[in-house]
Amino acid sequence: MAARLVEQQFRAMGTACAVAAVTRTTADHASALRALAAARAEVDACERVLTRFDERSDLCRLNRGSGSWVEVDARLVAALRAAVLARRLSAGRFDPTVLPALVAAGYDRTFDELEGRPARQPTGWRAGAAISLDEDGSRARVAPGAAVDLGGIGKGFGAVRALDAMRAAWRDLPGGLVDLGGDLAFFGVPPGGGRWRIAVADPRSPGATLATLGVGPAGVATSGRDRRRFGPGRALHHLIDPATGAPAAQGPLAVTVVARDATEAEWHATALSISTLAEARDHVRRFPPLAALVVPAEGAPVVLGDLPLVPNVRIPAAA
Amino acid sequence: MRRVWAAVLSVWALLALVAVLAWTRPAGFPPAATTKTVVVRTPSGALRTVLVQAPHATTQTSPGAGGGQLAVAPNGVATQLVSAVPGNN
Repeated sequence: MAARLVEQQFRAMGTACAVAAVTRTTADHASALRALAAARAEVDACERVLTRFDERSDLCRLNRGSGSWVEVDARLVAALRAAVLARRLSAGRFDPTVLPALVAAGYDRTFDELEGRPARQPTGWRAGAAISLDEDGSRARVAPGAAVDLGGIGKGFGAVRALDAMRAAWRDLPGGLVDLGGDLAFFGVPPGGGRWRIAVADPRSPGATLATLGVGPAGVATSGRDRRRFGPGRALHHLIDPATGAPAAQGPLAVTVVARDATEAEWHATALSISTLAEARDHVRRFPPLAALVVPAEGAPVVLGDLPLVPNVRIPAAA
Repeated sequence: MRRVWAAVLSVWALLALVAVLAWTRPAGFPPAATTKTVVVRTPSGALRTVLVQAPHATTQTSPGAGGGQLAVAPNGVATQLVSAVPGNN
């Protein structure tokens, strides 16, 4: 029997998701289903813990208890650790404490429920609020009055966790992928060998593919202002510039990042999505093997780093 | 008589093998990423049939439905679909 990809699709984290495992024989099917179930359970667990749209989540409890130590799930501690590291490495261009600014801008509920109210200025908000972690005690604390949003890293983090859960459930897993709304985590090799093929959606032409990437074990994420728009006339977007506290004025229409894992890919994509092209070029250069495809609102897309593009083939004119 | 018993045992062994195979075979696989053929318009305007290998995943700004089609030639090299217009030439 030829290798196959066993895939399940579902909705989670407010978006379309998929998990898939490679099988090599019919006997692998049961193991694949077990691995996919483990991955979906982990995605559900991450959503329950990390969402800011459910008052019962650990993240909401942490934000409500700002200034105090709060016992939280180990997943939230790990996600916060990754977010704090990302803030430091990005020199504040990625900041998980932008939530008050995000809410002031109008992104105060899920996209399905958003209303077109004008943006406000966040009062008394400053970027870089302190986040303290007690990993042994599984506790966290945010500075008084501060609040955390993991929207720029949470899906990538969840994809990595889900992929790890797949591998733990099936030790001989030949290959697998987790797709959380376009934030992707890959392991092993796809059916037929070679590299995983990833279509990069064209933000300027809905439904079209801009480019194709081929990756091994890696993370891929896309961030942009092409979809998550809101407010009167859909004039606002969700990418807050921590330097101003307002939706970023600069930055590309969308940016796709290939990194060592999906957590890294997502926060890098978030940081690059509010960067000028020169800043993005410097950023990618600082974090090899990071690579990116930057799509400006106008003009040709720009490749930064060693992006694993699948080369286009020229169709013979005489065909 | 020995040959009769050998024949009976062979039949039973075959039946057992079929039963094992039927037991281990899953009820049905979900559709995998498969290869199919589509018609694309070449730069010269002519139509050509190419193998299309679906990508394993699409990356995009979430939320939203994903991506378009990728055309992959038999040598495994990919191109974007220029247009797919079967029956319209």
